[in-house]
Amino acid sequence: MDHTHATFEALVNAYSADLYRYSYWLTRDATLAEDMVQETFMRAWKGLHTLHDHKAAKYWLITILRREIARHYGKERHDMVSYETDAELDQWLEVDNGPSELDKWALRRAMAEVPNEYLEPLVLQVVGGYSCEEIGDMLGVSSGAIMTRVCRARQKLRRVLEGDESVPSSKKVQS
Amino acid sequence: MNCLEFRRQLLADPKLKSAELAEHRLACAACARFGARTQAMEHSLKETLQVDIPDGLASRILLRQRLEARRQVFWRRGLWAFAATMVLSVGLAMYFPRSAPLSLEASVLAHVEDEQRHMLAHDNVSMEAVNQGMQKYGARLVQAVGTVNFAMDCTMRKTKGFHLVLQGDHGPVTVLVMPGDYIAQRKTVADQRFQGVVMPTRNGSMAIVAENGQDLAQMEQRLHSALQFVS
Repeated sequence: MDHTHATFEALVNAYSADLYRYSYWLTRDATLAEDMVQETFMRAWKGLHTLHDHKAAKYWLITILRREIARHYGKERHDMVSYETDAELDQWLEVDNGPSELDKWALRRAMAEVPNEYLEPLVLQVVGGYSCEEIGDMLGVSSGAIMTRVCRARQKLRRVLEGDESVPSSKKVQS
Repeated sequence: MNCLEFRRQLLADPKLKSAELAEHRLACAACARFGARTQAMEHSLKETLQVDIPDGLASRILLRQRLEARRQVFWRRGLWAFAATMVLSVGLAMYFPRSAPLSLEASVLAHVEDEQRHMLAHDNVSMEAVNQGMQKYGARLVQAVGTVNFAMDCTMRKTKGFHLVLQGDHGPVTVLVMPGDYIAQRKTVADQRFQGVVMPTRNGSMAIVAENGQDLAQMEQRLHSALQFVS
């Protein structure tokens, strides 16, 4: 096996799992998610000579995958807007809810409520282990915006998981 | 740091650790609880996001890549081979202008020349054996033509035919039976060494060739009555 094949195999072994998870959460479809990962690695194979810094490989692969998914859905899905305003979520943020049962099943269901715009950086952060700055680079937005989005994603999850029943006034919050 | 800021920072990155966060956590019981639940959710979140990877994902990717690599090599090599063939063909075509196909007369002489070793044969082939061999070429001896020194299938200009060497009065006479290779009329052929005739038959043509100086008229006459053709 020559060097190129060895490099490629190393990339597949190191990153295919993370890419699949990322793909899964953006498509919510196991078959499609795998197709997207397969396509990503095929493009990566053809363009392997353009990858000069192997430390940037994961970043490079994720960029290809994002493009692949965007191509699959067309433009509109990636520009999805959240269905709750930031003000509403901020209001929730001020709430101190009681202890909750964070069960995986509920969390998965809750995930469906999180718009992709928020979920994507969340997956990159939790699964990919990237900092908000790196994610910002990848998605072409500021790190501040990424911080807001991942924060919104978690808020949204908790809100769905913990329910809306006890939305208190902001007076409870210390200032 | 106020509660809102604390919670925002924590939700933006639950792993974040700073003196300010720690201080607020100590001072605010509600935020400490919030922090604990955030950590708990973060743990579940991570577990949830780590969905199971389909079995054999990596091997499928590698398999596809190997097939793709093979395809790439095929095309790369194939294109080179194709290009090389084209260049060579064009070059050869320019270097060796296409020769005109041999005429029947010329091919008869060339054949006799090429196969002249048969003229030295003394197989003494029986008439039956000759007829057996010539059967598939639609020819048959109905009477003896003298000694047959050689009789064999042969590859002619266009198709397979039958090559006979008869004993003439002054040396061997070659007879070529060439079904499927038609000629409009009887023609004489000659070069520096051989002379003869090519004549139409019912299913193609026949040639009678001998070395210069021999009288072929007699042999032609003999064959005319002895050799029959079916169409």
